[in-house]
Amino acid sequence: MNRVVITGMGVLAPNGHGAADFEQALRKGRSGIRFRPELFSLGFGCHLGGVPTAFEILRDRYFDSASLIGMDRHAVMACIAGLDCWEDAGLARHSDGHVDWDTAISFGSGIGSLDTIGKELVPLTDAGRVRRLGSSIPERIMSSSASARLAGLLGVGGQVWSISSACATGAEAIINGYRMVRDGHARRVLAGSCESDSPYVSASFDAMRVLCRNFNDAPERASRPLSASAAGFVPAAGAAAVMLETLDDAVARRASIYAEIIGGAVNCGGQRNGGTMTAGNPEGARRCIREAVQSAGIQPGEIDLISGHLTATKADPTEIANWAAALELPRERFPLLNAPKSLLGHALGAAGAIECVAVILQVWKRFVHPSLNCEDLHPDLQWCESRIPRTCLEKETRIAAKASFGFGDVNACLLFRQFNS
Amino acid sequence: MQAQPQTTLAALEEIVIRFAPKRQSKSAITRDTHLVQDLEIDSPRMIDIVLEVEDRFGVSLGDIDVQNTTTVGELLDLVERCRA
Repeated sequence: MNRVVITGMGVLAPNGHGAADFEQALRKGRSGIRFRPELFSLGFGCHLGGVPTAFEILRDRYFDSASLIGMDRHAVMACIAGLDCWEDAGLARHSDGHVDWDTAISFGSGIGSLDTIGKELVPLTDAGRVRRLGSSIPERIMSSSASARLAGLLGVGGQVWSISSACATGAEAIINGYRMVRDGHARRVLAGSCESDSPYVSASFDAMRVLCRNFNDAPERASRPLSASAAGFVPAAGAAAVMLETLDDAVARRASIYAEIIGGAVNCGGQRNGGTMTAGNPEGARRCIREAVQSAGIQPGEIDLISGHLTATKADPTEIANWAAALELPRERFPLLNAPKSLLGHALGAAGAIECVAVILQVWKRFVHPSLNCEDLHPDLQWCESRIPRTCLEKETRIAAKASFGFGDVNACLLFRQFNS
Repeated sequence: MQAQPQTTLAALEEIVIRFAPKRQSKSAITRDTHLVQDLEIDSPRMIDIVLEVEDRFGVSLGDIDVQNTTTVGELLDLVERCRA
């Protein structure tokens, strides 16, 4: 089995574009959540969102009009992150007939192309104007549109794998990429996920009453994981990608190595024993965490940092109880714990990849980002008060755990280790 | 009478350039520019060009006629025939 290291990162997050900008946002506790006038106009209960800033300017800097014809907004975000990651990994782009047969892609989104479907496909079809759809709808709405577009831009010739597992998508895409490299199915994998900022994506969650409605006049205070006043998640968008590579290849080509992935697990709670399509079976999450730790060959006490899923819903205390039950550590030895969604909002399918990049940056650059808006810690979580940083800690993390949980009762957990050459 | 085809050509150039994966300056496009070989416009994107052309010039282009069109000049002639 190969050791798997991370040699490239690309991130387009609500609070930063590019690893350097994103790192500063994490260190400073800079929120990416803002008022979204279109959600207010459309009568949403939640008027807020975490959307990458100046997206249209960035889009036009990366792509010409001909390229954009075949890309939904989520795929544009994916490709910005993917191209950044490729460049950061120091890999060449070829415009000739060169195909990179050694590299694969594992990429996904939770929802996908709703903007194209809602604004073009459905209205024109219902109006009996199918001919007016033009040629580009299939390539924009197919479930594999983001990963396929990345493959074309980069000339990737290995397996191009499209993942969709709701809010676990990003973490699962990276775990699948990790396994492909570990087991020798690819020498490199570009792995990550994306989600659009289309109002159509967040509308259904607004209707479910799971979005935050209580802080429309205070955007930066709205995403409140771990808090007693948590009132639902704030929808977000963006994309992130990581380059996964065998340690041997990375060393041979003298690539920068940011961290190592040492284990991971994916499962489903079976939608039994408390698990449903929208809620998790606690035993599923606990087994997933335990399996990830076992696959890494470490002891739970070696984990220095947990980057939680923690969406700012009533599921937060349950998640912490699951971590505690899975790791079976004395409370005083529970790892540090932070909630990236307190800065980002919940980017659904993109969340796992964006938050994995946040973990990699913390491990690489030796800091722990603050958790915002949990000054009124939930009563069930008082015991871990000291484990939750409210300001940035300049602190070494040797091993970090990242988990994502999604509708469908799906779970994914990854273990990252600091890399010392 | 000479001005009308030239105006149409200029408008066609603008449309074609917008859909061409292989970037070309407008001045590089002539009647002889090949839509596939020079501009790498594939058959799906040709559908988008036809829709734009139909909107712009108020014409309806036949599918067979479009399939037989290989250069910018031939597309121009097709539009002119339909407008006549």
